[in-house]
Amino acid sequence: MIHPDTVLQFISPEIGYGVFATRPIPQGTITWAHDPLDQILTPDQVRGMPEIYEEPLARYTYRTPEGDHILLWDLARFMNHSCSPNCMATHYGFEVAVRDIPQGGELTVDYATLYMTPEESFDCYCRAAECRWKISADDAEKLADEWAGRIQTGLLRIGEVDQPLLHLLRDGCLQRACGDHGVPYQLPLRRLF
Amino acid sequence: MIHPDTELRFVSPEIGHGVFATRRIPKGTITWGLCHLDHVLSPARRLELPPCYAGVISAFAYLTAQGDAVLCWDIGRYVNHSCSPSSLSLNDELDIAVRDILPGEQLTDDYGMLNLPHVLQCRCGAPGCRREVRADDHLRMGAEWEVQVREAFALASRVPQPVLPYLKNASQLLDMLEGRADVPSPLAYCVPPAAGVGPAPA
Ligand SMILES: [Zn+2]
Ligand SMILES: [Zn+2]
Repeated sequence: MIHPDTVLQFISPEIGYGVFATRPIPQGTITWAHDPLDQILTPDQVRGMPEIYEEPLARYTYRTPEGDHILLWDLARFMNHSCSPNCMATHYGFEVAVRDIPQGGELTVDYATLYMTPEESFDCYCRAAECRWKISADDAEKLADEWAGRIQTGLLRIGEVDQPLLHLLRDGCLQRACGDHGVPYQLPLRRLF
Repeated sequence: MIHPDTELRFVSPEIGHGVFATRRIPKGTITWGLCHLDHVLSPARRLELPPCYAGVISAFAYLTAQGDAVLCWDIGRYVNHSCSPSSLSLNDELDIAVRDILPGEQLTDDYGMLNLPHVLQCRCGAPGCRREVRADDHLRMGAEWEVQVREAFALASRVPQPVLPYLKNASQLLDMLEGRADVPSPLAYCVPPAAGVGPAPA
């Protein structure tokens, strides 16, 4: 589920829609968490669908390494890519704001941090100073350290800000994410639990 | 699955988004049908969900006569109500255009057919606006809905039906189109007010 202080907004015919903040969302806020309405479509379920579903599945779902298609049920599905994203995905089913997102700012994520297959490479025109132009599954290897650092900047603030999505996180996910990124959670997070 | 010749547009802060035709959609076209990606949430499933979903489900899902809440996976969930709608429910899995819908025109349904758990105040501005939309509207509107749906369905086999291949239950529509099954009365899917499906958990 996407953070409640967001709205869907049309950007342009080329880009389509994006997700924008209706209030400031500070660094450290959990901006998205996997939730019970997100659909996990197994390879068997997908095989049971008529062939015509290939197009919507390719467009609106992402694939996990296990081969499941994940269809997010809400606006989160419309989050655009940026090479300098303000949200970063952790490995534990949630995303965290790695910068302050102003009111009216677009929430973005780096698609290469989600599961990408080699066929899903695309040209990027995100206009970030650090735009990589070509986004591909290989980026993960090159950028792993940089991404880990960004996630850490978000997690460091996680105990200091409002967390409307905290109740959706599965037990232990936050602790494990903090552990992975060397963020001592006991002190700052005491307030949250 | 919503008809492919549609797009989401922002209407106003009060109304939010709506679904608009990008090309002409002729009368008799299935404008929405239950597909493999829609959420069908039983009352038991809804009780398991955290309370934060209640608002979402009451704003975006409709109730079937069995009490399931159907949350469209796509922009179908943004189709607004009108007291003079462009589409009506053919049954609890299909909507049919009851007039030609022109490019740029908003697709609308009559929520009075959707077993509303609450009375809805309406300011749709259509001539003949009922002001209140309620689950028992079928007691007053049923005969008219039935005429409109049957008239529209009479054209259904002569217009393109791009939603058909996506349907979860395509054979049901094919049987009706090819005359092997009768077109049901839309009233069969409205719950009599006494049946008590009403305000199931939102
Ligand atoms: Zn870029
Ligand atoms: Zn009205």
